[in-house]
Amino acid sequence: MSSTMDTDVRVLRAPFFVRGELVEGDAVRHTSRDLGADFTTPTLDLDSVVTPRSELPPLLGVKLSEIIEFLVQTGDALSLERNPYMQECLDLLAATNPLPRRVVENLYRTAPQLLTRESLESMVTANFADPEALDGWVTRVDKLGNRGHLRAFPPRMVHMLAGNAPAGCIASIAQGAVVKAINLFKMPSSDPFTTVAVLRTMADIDPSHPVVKSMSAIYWTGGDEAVERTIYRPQFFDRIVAWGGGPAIMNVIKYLGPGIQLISFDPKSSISMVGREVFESDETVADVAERVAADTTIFNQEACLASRFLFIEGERDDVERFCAVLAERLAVDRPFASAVAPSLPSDTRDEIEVMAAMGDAKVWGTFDGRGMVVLSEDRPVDFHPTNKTSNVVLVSSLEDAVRYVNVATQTIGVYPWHRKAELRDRLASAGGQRVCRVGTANMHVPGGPHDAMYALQRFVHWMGDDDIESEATLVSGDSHWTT
Amino acid sequence: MASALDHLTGLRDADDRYDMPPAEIMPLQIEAANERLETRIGRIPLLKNRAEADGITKISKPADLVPLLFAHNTYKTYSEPWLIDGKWDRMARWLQTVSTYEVGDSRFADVEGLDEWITSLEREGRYVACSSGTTGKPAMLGATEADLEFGPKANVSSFSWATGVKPANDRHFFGLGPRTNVTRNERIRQAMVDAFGLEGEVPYQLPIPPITVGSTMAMIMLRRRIADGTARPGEVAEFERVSSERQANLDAAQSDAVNALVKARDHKLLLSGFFPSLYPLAVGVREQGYSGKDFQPDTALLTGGGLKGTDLPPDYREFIFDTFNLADERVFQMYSMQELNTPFPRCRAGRYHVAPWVMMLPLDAPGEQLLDATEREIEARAAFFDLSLDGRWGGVISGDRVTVDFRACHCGHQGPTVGPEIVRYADLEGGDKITCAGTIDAYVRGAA
Repeated sequence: MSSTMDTDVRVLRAPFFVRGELVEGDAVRHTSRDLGADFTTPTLDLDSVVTPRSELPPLLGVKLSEIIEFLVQTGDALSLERNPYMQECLDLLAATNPLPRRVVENLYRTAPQLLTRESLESMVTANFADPEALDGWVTRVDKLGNRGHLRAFPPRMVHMLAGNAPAGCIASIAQGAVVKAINLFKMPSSDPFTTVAVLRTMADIDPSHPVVKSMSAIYWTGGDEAVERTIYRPQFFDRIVAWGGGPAIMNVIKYLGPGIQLISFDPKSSISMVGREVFESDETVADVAERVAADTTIFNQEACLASRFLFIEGERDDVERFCAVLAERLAVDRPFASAVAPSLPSDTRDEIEVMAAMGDAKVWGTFDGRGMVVLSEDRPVDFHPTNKTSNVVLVSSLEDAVRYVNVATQTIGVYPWHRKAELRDRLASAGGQRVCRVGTANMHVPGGPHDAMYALQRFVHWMGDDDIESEATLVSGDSHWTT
Repeated sequence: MASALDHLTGLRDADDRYDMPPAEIMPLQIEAANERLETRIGRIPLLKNRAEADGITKISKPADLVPLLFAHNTYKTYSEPWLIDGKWDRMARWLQTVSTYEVGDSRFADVEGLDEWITSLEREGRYVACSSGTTGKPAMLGATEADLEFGPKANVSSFSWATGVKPANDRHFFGLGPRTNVTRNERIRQAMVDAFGLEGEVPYQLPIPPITVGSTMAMIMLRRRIADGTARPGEVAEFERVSSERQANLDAAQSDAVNALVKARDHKLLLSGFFPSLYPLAVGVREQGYSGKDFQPDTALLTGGGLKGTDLPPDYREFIFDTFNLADERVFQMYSMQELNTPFPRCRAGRYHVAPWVMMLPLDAPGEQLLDATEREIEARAAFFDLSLDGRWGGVISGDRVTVDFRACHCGHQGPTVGPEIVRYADLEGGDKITCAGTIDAYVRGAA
C-alpha cells in the first residue's frame, strides 16, 4: 500500500526464521495494517520453507518427554528480564501493534506459563486417549485377533497467527512441537516479530535441536496470491490452523480441497450473565461489577473472550445503579487493559448518540476510551461493542437471554456460580462454547477444549497399520469399505 | 440582498459555477453554513447534542464544522428489529432524531410494511430513500420536496456541463440498469428524461420489475433471521430460488435491451446505467454483429459509481465505449453519495469537480482532523458539507478514501477536485486481517 507520508518513518526490520536458521535482509518493504508502520523483511524463498515429503519430520524420533523438557527450558529462557530478543520486540511492537506497551509486556511475562510441564502434559492427555501414539506405533487387538497399529504421525502445518494476540505464537509453537509437526508460522502484519524472537530463544538453547529444526516463521502480505496459490497445496501441507476469522480466512478457503484441511478457531464474541442475586448487598454489586469489568476489558476488548454484552436480572433502578458502578470499574488500569483505551470509532459513537437522543438507551462513561456502559431497552444493541464498551440488557430471566447466544458465542461468564450448571446445557445447544464464573474469562483450567474442540487430535495424521488375521473383519467393519 | 445560502445554491445552473477559486468562495460558504446551523440546530436533535457537547455555536472556519459532521453510518443507526417488528412510530422518532422531520401528530398504527411506511411519510412531504445494498443494514435518508427539486436539476445541469449536451429533447433515452421505486431516484430519472428525451416518447426501460424498498428489506431481514438461527431451511431454499429467478429475469431483460439498442442505432441516444449493467449489453450487441461504426457518433452516457464488487475484464470501459461509439467527452461520470444531494461531474482531465455550494472537507483517515489541500494533492477521507440539503444536515463524513486538490484542475477549471482513484476504507481492510474476535455475521452464507 503506498503512502503519501513515507518520509521520516523509521523502518523496522523483521527477519525470518527458517528451519532453525535466522534469515536477515531488508529486500522487501511492507506496511502494517493496523498502525501503518513500515517494516522490511528478507526475500521469501518458498523452496526453503517447504520440506519435501521425501524427508521425514525432524521430530519423528524424538520422545515427547524430551520435547516437553525443551519447551520447559524455553519457557524459562523467555523471562523478559533476561531475554534481549523479547525486550527488543517490546519496542518493535509499539510501532505495529495497537495494544499498549504495558499490556504487551504483561502478555510476554505471563504467556511462558503455558510452557510448564503440568500445562503441556495436560494439553497432551486431554487431546490424546493414548499419548503413546505420539511417540510410536500403538497396537490394539480386536476379538478375532486382528491387530491394528496406530500412530499420531507428525503433520505438515501452516499456523496463521492472529494479529490481536502477540503472545499467542507461544501456544502455537508449543502445539506444533507437541504433535511433532513441521511448522510454518505465518506472522501477522501487526506483529511480524514475536514468533521469530521466541524461536531465536530456542535456537540459543540448542541450535541443532529437532524442535528448532522443525520451525519456520515468515511474513507475507495476507492474500498475496503469488505466495498462497503456490504453497497452500496438499503436496506441501496437511493442515492450515487459523487463529481467528476475517478476510485472511476467506482467502485461505479458496485453496482448501482434498488433502488440505483448515482447522479454524472461528471469530467469537463473549458475554456475561448476572442473576438477580447480585442485588443482595452493596458488596456483591461492587464485586460482580468489578468482575464484569475485568472480563469486558481484556486486551482493551480486542480479544474473543472479552465480554461485550451483559444480560442481567433485576429492577431497573438497581440495574442502573449496577451500570454506574460498572462504568467506574471499566476506567481502571489493569494488567491486560489500559485505563484509557483507544477512543470509540465514530460510527459506534453515532449509534450511541442517536440511541441516547431518542431515549432508547441510558449511557454511563465517556467516548474517549475510558469505557462506556450502554443500558439498552429490551434487546441488545445492533452494533458490536468495542473499546471497553458493555451493553447491559435487562432480562426477566437469564433463561430468556439464551436466545442471544449462538455459534459465535465463546465464553459466557455467569453469576451466581450455581446458575452455570442450570444454564449450560441450553447454552451449549444454542452454540455457546464455554461457561465460567464471571470475572475469570481469561483464566482456564489446563487441559480444556478451545472453541468447543480438542484441536491437537485434528492436527495429526492418524496413520493406521492393519494386520488382518481373519477376513471376517472386512465385512463387519466400516461401511466405507463396501461403497 | 440574497443571503449567502441563496446566493450559493442559486449558482446551480450558472456558467461559471465550476470556476470559482476556493479561497474566494470560502467566506460565503462559512456564512451559509452558519445560516444552516442556526436553522437546523433546533430541528435535528443529534446536531443539537453534538453542538452542545462540543460547545459550538458558530462556524468561523471550515475546521469548526468537523465535530459537527455526521458519519455516513448515522443514517443506519435505527434498530433493525424495529423494521422486523413493524415499529413504525419508533422508526419515525428515529428519523426525527437524525433529520429535520417532525413526527407531530403522525400515527403509523395501520401501516403494514416498510413500503407503506415510506408512502405514508411521502404524503407528509417527507421522502425516504433507502439504499439498495443487500449485504448490510440499509441507510434511510429523509428528504424534503426542496431536496427533490434541487438534486435532479443539479444532475441535469452538471450533465450538460460535463458533456456539452444541451437539454434539447432530441434523444432516445435508455434506462439500462435495474430501476428502483425510490422517489428520489425516480425524480432524477424523470428530470433527465424531461431535459434530454424525445418529446412524447416513452423512454426505454430495462423490462424487469422495479426493486422496491420493501423487497430489499425483506432480503436483509431474512439474512438477519438466518444469522439468528430462526430462519427455517424452507425459507432459505425459497430465498435461493427467488435469487436465481431474479437472475434469469435479468438475463431475459438484457437480451430485450440489446434488441432495442440495435434497433435504435440510427438515432441520437442517451444511455443511462452503471458499467456492470452496461457490459453484458455491449457483449450482446457485439454478438449480434454490431459495434461502434453502427451507432451514432454523438451517443451520450450517464453513469457513476464503482464496479460494486463485480468482476469485469480490465478493458471493460474501452469495450463498452467502442461498442456504442461513445466519445469520452459525452460520458457523464459522476462522483457522489446518497448522503448528499449534489453530483460531482467528471471533467476531461478525469477529475470530479465539487460545486461551490458544497464545502469539500478533506479529513485524516480516522475522520477527526481537517487536512490542507491548497498547496498539493493529498490523500484524505472524503467529507462534505452540502449547503443545498434541506431535509438533513449537510455535513457528512464518507467511507471513501480519495485524493483531493484545491488547486486549479488541468482541465482549466477552478475549485476543489477529487481524483479518479476512489476506494472505500472498508475495502482496504481486506487481505491481512485475522483476529479471534468477531460476530455471527461472519457465519452467514448465501444471503450476502
